[in-house]
Amino acid sequence: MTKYALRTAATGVLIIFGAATLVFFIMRLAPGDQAIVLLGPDATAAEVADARARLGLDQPLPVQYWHYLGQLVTLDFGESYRFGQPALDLVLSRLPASVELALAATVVAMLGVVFGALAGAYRGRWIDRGISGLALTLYSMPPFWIGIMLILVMALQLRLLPSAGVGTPAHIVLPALTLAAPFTALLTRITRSSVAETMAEPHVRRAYAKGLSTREVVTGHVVRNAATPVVTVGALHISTLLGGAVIVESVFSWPGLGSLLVTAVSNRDYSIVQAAVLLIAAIVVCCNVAADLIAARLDPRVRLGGAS
Amino acid sequence: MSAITVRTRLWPVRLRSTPAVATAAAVVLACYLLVGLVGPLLIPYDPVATSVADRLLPIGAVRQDGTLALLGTDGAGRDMLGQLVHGARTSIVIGVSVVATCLAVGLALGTLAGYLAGWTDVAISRLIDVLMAFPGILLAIVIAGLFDQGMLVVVLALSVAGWVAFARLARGLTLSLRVRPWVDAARLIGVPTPVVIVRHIIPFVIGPVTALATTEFAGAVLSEAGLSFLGLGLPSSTVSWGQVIANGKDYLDTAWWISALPGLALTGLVVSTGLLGDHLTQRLGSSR
Repeated sequence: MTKYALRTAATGVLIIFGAATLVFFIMRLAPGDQAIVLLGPDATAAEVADARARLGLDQPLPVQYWHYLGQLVTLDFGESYRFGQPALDLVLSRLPASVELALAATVVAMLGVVFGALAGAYRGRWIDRGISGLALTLYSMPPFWIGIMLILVMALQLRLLPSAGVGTPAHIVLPALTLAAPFTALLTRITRSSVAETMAEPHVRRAYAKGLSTREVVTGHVVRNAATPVVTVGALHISTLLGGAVIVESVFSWPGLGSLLVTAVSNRDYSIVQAAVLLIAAIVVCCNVAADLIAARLDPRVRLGGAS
Repeated sequence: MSAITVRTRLWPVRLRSTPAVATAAAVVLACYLLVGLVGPLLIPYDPVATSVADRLLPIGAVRQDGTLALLGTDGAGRDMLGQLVHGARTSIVIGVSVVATCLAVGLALGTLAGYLAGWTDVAISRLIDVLMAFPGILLAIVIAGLFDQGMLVVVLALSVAGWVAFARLARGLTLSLRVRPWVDAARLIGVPTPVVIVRHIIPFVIGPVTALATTEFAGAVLSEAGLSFLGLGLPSSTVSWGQVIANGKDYLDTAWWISALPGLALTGLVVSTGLLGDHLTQRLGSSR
């Protein structure tokens, strides 16, 4: 188990390193000079050259990359030119709001597991068809559009909930529902296929033969077996959830990491972009590692199965 | 011998995975394609031409000059039907370009990794791991936001992470194909590696990959809409559904149709692609 955990963690470190490299090259390839962004269009050539030297932009790319990695290891992401504060502080200050929203959405999305299990247990019956059709439709809607339609109906027409911002618990309802929508649909689909697959296994047939009802068969003989892929595949899509959050936060002016990233990208605030992207990558990796360990705990086949 | 009567149901009760649903989805998809390809020729639309007098007309209203605004107008008096039709073309062009790029790259790298094994496989697999774990839309937002706006940048931004799914699928299939007898035989008689891959591996990979292409198309269309919604996608001279939805956000109180209609159009396109994709996945073999 320890060996398994170590291997999983090593993969995680590799992924964060890969993401950092990717971000570095995207930012260096992007047109526009960071020094000019920093100083504004009125800067003289001498000022720009000075800033470039200060930022290390006049050095060869491999040297820049080496410096960049050094800065990452010491968690030094530089200052945001717009806010004049360390980028990491800014990004971390936005993290709690994002975590709150993601957790709320995950709680809502757990409904998907219930619906998916129902659909899988009654595969091919009307309840399956209804749930599957609904899940496909929900998954096919652009999340930001679901958000806007929720604002239209719940906030503007019925005047039940606030449409944007933070403050009261009511403020989180619409963003959380919006963010949860595609994830719920996804969990429904994953759970459905996993449960349906487990239902076809011999031990389930035996449980039926023993005279158990469908409910007893599902709760006693299917749920735990079917849980492993739901956990691993579900966790793989945590990144979908966090990616979705970037857009959903912008719809609802939710003061999280995502909306900060979008404004930073528009303003070419490189240090924030870099810090935010890497923080999100780190969160995704942690979730995946956690999910792998949970899956290994749930299912000995995973931890004993060797390399994969 | 008595004729066997087959009871045909009027209502297609089996909603999913039946050819009827797949056919219906294909028909809907064909309609979108037709609208996207031919529509812009029939319904001219000028994103710059605004008309203050015709602002925020509801569905079916008549304009100042007596013409019918079938689906209403937006906050600048521009025709909604025109925006929907031109937006369909944008979505389809981007979706097809992204899928074509991702398919080519993913198929090439995936089969190479699976066939050559060794270090090639390790390098490509690690790259896949990194990109799989990373939210693709995040990467697209950063790329599309930092580079100059344009069709090519959007396609590239969405392809950077998009090829991974194809590569993973192709690699997995190739791993099991490379030990099959006909591949061994080809290798033994000295067929060069590229030819083995093209002639003896790819024909067996292409089916599942095609099924995956439908899902990826749907994802690309949704992501493009998301980028344009954030104002990071296409320049405003190109109509995109995501952009229209964003424009309508300011008029939700008075003109709901501006945001609602493009979203419905998007959902219809993605649902029908998804239904067709589910069917193809069942027909053409495993995905995931």
